[in-house]
Amino acid sequence: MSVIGIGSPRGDDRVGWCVADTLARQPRAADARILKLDRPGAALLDALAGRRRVVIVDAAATGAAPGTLYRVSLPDLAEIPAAASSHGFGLAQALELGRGLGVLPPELYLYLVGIDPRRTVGIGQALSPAVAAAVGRLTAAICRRLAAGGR
Amino acid sequence: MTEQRTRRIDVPVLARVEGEGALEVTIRDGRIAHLALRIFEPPRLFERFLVGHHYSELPDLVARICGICPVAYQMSALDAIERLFAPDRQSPPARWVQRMRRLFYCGEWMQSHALHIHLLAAPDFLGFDSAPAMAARYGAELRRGLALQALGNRIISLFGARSVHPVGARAGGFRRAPSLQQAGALAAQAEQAVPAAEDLVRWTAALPLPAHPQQFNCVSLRHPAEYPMIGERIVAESGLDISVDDFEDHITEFQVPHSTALHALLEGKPYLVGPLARLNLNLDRLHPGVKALLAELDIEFPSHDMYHSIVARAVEILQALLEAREILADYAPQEPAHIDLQPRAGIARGASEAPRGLLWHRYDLDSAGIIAHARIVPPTSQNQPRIEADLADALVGVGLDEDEATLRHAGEMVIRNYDPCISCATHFLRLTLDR
Repeated sequence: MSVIGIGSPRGDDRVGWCVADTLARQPRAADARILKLDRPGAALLDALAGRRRVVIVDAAATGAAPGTLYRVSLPDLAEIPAAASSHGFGLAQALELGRGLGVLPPELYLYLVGIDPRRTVGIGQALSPAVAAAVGRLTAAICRRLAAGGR
Repeated sequence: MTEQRTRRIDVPVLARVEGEGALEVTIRDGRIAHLALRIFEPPRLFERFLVGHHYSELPDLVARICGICPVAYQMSALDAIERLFAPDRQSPPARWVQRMRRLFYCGEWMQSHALHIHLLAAPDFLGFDSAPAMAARYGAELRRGLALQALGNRIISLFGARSVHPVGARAGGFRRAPSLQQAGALAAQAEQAVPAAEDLVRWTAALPLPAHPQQFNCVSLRHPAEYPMIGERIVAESGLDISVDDFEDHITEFQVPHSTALHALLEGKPYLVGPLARLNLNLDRLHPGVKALLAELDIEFPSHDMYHSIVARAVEILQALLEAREILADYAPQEPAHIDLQPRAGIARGASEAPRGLLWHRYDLDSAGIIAHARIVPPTSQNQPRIEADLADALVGVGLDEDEATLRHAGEMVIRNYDPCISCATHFLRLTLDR
């Protein structure tokens, strides 16, 4: 199992990294390969290559309350406009490209954390409280998934 | 007399540009009355942010400016301070550092250009809305491009733990030397990738590219022997040949009301930086293997058709790959992986060729090496007046009475040729057409 936290150093955009860091401290995640990627764009596909089970965590400005958690399926992701994902050639496009090329892992779980784009300005800025609170809930959910089928 | 109509339309478009911007066009009586590429960039906050920091912090700080070209920001900053501190650049350890920086930079050119060609530009020329839409028909080509991009990222990762925002570069060199084993593995991958890079050049040259030759002045660095990456002299087709130190005497930056990015002019006129400008000015510095392949193509360089930029990017991927292959094949680790620097007070100026073009830095340092003033001139702000001139010309060429979708697509294609990194911000361009 791989867990990939996607983000940038800007404020709440770090939430994917924070989940990865928190998960890395969990004994239940000891066997997982945990990666933090900074706006990887299409290079995400290189990180997915040859993997069977992958969890991806990213921030998304969805308009909902910051800290809202989403478990998104790939078809749903295509419905999210490119602009809602946080980085240029974004997550949705990279996964859509991967699907078109037939290179996605057979099991791919995608979690998004709702953020307010106005809270992604300061480099190294602390997470806003609502987003920080989502980190623990999401880490627990990923741990349950690891326990459910930790191959 | 034509009746004057005014229509405002807001369309979020141009997702395939790094950054956030908007294009505003006002058409009056069949001619362009106003055209502005708006760029919403947090205005130069970064330069202020660097003030008060020690020069040794620069590589980590400036790498944060751009997620696509962090190596370029690091190399321009380090070139600036090392030109001021003037260590012996001919010593064997210094020469090792120079070779490794070149390898590091080759990785960035490869990954950035491969991204632009396949994911941003190619859909324009092949009639697709996006790269994912191309996947069914052009899967092999996309996989080839992604493999070259991944190889570029792995070259960067050889020095930094991460390919995005690499942490391996430091003042004087690198934090650690790659192991012989890591370098050997990459050397083999580079060797195997050469046919793919050659095929990529041929593929881009055979794309159905529009023809739109124009007049413009190309500007790039110039190296005594090598294809320019980090350099001492800035040259232009107009005959300019100046030291990196004299950039501010010839190139002026000014604010425009419609953009938070500064615009730049050379001797008062727009100019081009980037892959096509570099290639036009440095054909004699190409690797023999690249020269041989160029001779086969139907496209003649120097070229003043911006649509040949995609070919220039492919040519530079091959150039970077061939150089990387040679550096990796001859690699031997060196410890320490850096040279020692003695700070001195003064004005540090340096430049390198970011994938998108000339990236010039200036730092005013005190005797302890603390930054009192910083100035960073990125390629996109230098190209902005040129992009606007090109847009005006292209839209007139398409026909200003064409429907909005046609004009928008033409505008997007023009802008994408320059691969503007409007970022170091975020998302998309809006077109406001007023006519």
